[in-house]
Amino acid sequence: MQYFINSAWAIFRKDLILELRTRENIGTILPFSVVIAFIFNFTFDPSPQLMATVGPGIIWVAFIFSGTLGMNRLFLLEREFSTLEGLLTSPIPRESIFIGKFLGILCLLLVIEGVLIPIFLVLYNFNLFEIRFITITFCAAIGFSSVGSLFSAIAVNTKAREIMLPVLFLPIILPIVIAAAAATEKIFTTDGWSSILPWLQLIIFFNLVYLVLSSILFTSVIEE
Amino acid sequence: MVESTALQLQSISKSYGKNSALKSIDLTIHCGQIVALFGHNGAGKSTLLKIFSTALKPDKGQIHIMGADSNKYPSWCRSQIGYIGHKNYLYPDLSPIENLTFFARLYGIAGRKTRILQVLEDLELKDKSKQPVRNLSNGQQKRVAIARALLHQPSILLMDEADTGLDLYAKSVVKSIVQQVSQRGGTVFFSSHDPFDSLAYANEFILLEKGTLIAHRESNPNSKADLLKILRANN
Repeated sequence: MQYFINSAWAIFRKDLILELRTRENIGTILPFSVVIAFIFNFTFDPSPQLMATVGPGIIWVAFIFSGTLGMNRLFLLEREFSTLEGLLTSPIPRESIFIGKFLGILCLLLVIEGVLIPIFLVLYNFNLFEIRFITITFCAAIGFSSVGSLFSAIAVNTKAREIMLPVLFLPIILPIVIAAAAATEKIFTTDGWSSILPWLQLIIFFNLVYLVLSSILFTSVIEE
Repeated sequence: MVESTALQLQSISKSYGKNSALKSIDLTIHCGQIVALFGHNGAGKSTLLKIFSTALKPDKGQIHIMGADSNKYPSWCRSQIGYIGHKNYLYPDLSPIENLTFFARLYGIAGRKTRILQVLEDLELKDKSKQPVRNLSNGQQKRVAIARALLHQPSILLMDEADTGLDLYAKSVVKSIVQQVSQRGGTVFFSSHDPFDSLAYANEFILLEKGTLIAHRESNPNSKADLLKILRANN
C-alpha cells in the first residue's frame, strides 16, 4: 500500500514540478477561464434577480470549459515523449498512474476555482467564499478529475483529441454538473445545509461510482 | 549444468489490425547470455522487445521472465527488466538527476541518492546531472536513458536499437554497459541493424523475418557467415 501511495505521489509530484517549470497548462487555462467570466459579464446586465437564476450556470460553464482544456493536456506530454511507456514498463500498479493523474487534474481544477471565485465576486457580486459552495466545488472537482483522467487517457491516442475529450467527457459528467449547478442555485437563494444536502449526496454518490469505474477501466485503456 | 531461463516466450502472436507482427514465436534465452536480434525493418524486432518489456500485450501466448509468468506477477517481472527503447522515456524539462529520482521512486529503490550518483558516475554524466535533458546532446540523452534502465540493477537488459544515431564514444559506452551487465550475471537482449559490430560481443543471435523466427544460433564464425548470407540474400 505504501508503495502504491508513493508511486502515485511521485507521478503527481513530477507533473507538478513540470507544470511549475513550464507553466504550459496554467498559462493557457487561466486567461481562458477569465475571458469566459468576462464574456458573460458583457452579455447581460448582472442584476441580482437575474444572477440568482443564471449565475450557477455561468459559474459551472466556466469551471468545466477551463477544466476540459487542462485535461486535454494531461497525457499529452507523456505521449509526446513516449514517457508513458517508461511508466508502463516500471513495476508500479496501473492504478497508481490513475491516482497520480487524478491528483494532477484535481489540483489544476482547484487552482482554476481559486482564481475564478474572486473574479465572480468582482464581476457579478457572487459571494462564493462560503463553506457550502467550497464543499460543492471540491466534491464536483473530484468527480470531474476521476472521469477526466480516464477520458484524457482515451482521447490522447485519438487523432481529434481536442474534440474527442469534451465529446466523451461532458455527457458522462452531466449528473455532477446538474447537481452542482442546482446546489449553487440553492446556495444563492437559501441558508443552511438542508437545501443542498440532496444534491451534495448525489455528487458524492456519482464520485464514488466514477472513481471506482474509472480506476478499473483506466488499466485496460492505458495498456491498449 | 542447465542454465536457468531469463526470458521465455511460448506461442506469442501479435497483430496490428490486419498486419501480423509476430507469428507464434517460441523463444528461450538463458541467464547470462548476450543475445543480438536481427531482422529487416518491419520484421517484428521492436514488437518482440516491447512484449518482453511488458509495455505491449501479445494477442496470444505466454511470457515468462526469470521463471515467473508475466501475467500472474507483472510487477515482479517488470522489476527484473531494464528497457531502453527507440525513445529515451525521459522528461525533457527535468534534469537527469530529477528524471532518475522520479524513476527511482517508481522502482522503490532504497538508498536512491547514492544509487543515482553511482549510475551518473558510471555513465560519465555527473557534470550534466543538473541541466534539463532537452539541453543535452543525443548521445548524452541516450546515456541518461541507459542510466534510467540500469538504476534498479535489472537482471535483464532489453535494448531496442539503442546505439542508432550515436557517435563512437556513446556507442562504446553502450558496449561497455552490455559487458558490465553480462559480467555480473545479467542477460542482455538487444536489437541491431549492425551485424558486424553486434556479433563482436553477442553470444547468440536471433533472426526475425516478417514476424517469424527463422534462426536462433550461438555466435561462432560459421553461424556469423550464415547470418550475413541470409541478411544479404534478403536485402
